[in-house]
Amino acid sequence: MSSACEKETCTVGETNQCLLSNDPETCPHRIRSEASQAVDVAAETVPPLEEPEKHPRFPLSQALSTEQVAELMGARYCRLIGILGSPNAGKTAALVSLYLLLSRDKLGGIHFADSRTLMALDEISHGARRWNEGALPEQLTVHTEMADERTAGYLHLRLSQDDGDPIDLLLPDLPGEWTTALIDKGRSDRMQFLRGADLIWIMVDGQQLSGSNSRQYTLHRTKLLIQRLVGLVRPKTPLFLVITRRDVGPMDERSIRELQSEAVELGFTLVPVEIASFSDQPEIEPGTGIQELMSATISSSVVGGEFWPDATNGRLERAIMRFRRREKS
Amino acid sequence: MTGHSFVLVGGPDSGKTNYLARFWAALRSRKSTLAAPVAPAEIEYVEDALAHLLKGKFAPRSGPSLEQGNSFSVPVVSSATSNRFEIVVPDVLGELWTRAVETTELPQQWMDALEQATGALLFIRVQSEANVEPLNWVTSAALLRINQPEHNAGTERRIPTQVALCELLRFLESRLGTQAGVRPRVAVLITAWDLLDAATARKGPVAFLRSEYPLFAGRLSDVTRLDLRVFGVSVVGGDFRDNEFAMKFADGKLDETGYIIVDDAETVRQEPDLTLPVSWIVDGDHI
Repeated sequence: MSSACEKETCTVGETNQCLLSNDPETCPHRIRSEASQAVDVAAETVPPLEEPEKHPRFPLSQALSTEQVAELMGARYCRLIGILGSPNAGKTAALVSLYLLLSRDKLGGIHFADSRTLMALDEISHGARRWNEGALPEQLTVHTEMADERTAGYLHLRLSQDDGDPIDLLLPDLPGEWTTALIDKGRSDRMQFLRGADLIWIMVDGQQLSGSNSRQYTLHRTKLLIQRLVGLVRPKTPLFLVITRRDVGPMDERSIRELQSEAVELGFTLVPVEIASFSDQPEIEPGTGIQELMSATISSSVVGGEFWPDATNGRLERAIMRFRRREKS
Repeated sequence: MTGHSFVLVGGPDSGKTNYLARFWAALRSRKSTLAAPVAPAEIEYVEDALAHLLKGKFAPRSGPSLEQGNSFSVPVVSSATSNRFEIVVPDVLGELWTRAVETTELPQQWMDALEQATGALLFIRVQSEANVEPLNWVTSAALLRINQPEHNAGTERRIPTQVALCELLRFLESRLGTQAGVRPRVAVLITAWDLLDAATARKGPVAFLRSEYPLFAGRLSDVTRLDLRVFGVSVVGGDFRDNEFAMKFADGKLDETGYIIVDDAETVRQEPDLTLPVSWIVDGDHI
């Protein structure tokens, strides 16, 4: 076959004679050379869209990245609250309810003073920002540039108090799947920020905790979570057991005691707080318990490493330590 | 003569143009703290706006020409201190600030104006149809229960007014006067004050903000880089939709209409001087 024709026996390329006696220039079986087929790319291509004009920007008020948190904490003390809980435990609902209470100044003696993440809070309350379940964030955001995406980051609230100084809170906004992975796979690498947490909210769905078919399993999973915190958080970090869905019924005292016993055995204290972020029952106000949770959170003592720890470690071979040991004896 | 420029900040229908028109009339009345003894050459914009008031109508939304860099510039003298100032007010469309809240972007020329300004007037209008209430638990719960993001894709999120105000204040805190070399002052003006019921009005502008916009009120109490004061404003003292008021206004004198509500720590008082908020920005604490 000539390279100039689709017909196997045609030699038009070499002889300029068409096998079918067609005009070689117009024969539909001719294979055109690259030169003859060349397309004027410049003429055919749609010119690229003009780059939109770039305007100067104000800082975003979206969830804070790790480096933004470091910068903020360098300027003022912020209390970091670790918020853990399985998917559907009610973490987002609690944050939204807190935001709605502040928006209407219904948090007793606690009032809104500032938030570096106000737009993120508002977007979450509109349900406009959801975790993209197909691509959940893998790590805490280091640097935030995008406004549209719900990233794993920190929400900030500065609250004023009728009877105290203003207080800054950092509330990590994380998918519940991270808690599940911590329990099931011991995946603590992206939870290292908890080491700096002043206290932890362990969020548990109250309906699950009191349901006859789900109580045992929920207790089991919550105990596992508390066990995972050993070594991950500082010793004696206060734990709050935040039981959601108060509107479906009061908390189950037996279950609370069981979880408290577990916590005590592991060196923690576990304070139960019931909340109803939203409510389907007219007798239970939406937002019930959030004020108590925030008051307890704010008044909870700041946990820190001992400023001057007692030297009862294994370095007693050092001369100064031996001297001290003799002195004590 | 000291130069002062200040920016008018606020969403659409927040009362910026009507206040500027009435401010211009007050400057010319020779009865206010600030006066403009000589009319500047370019007054078409404020005259257009004032024409509406004098005909018994509130000025409509600012036209797009104002976004292209028109500004109102006028030399004034203070009767309180005898100081002389050149006041420059670049007017900005409310939509521009709405976009700024949504995107955090502001065109370069306005960012420059913000950085060079010594102060700002931040506007909120009582009962404006453009005001957006914060979400409540019922609405928010419904939105949160929709599990598919695409359900919300077509619904436009409306940013609550108090959130937008907090954002605007944050913008001012971050950039206002950074090139002006003075501590910037921001007067928060609650316009259409005459629409409030007597009991609410009596409590004053700060109490009004605490009640209606608690996030914004809280934010105001926590700002450190700006000097802030809150005023109530009624540019003509009533609503032109009220026929009785409109008739009374038509037969009266513009100079004798309108008032400013000054909210001190101890008292709430009404003053007839419509230049007071600007006077505070350019000339200090004599109010």
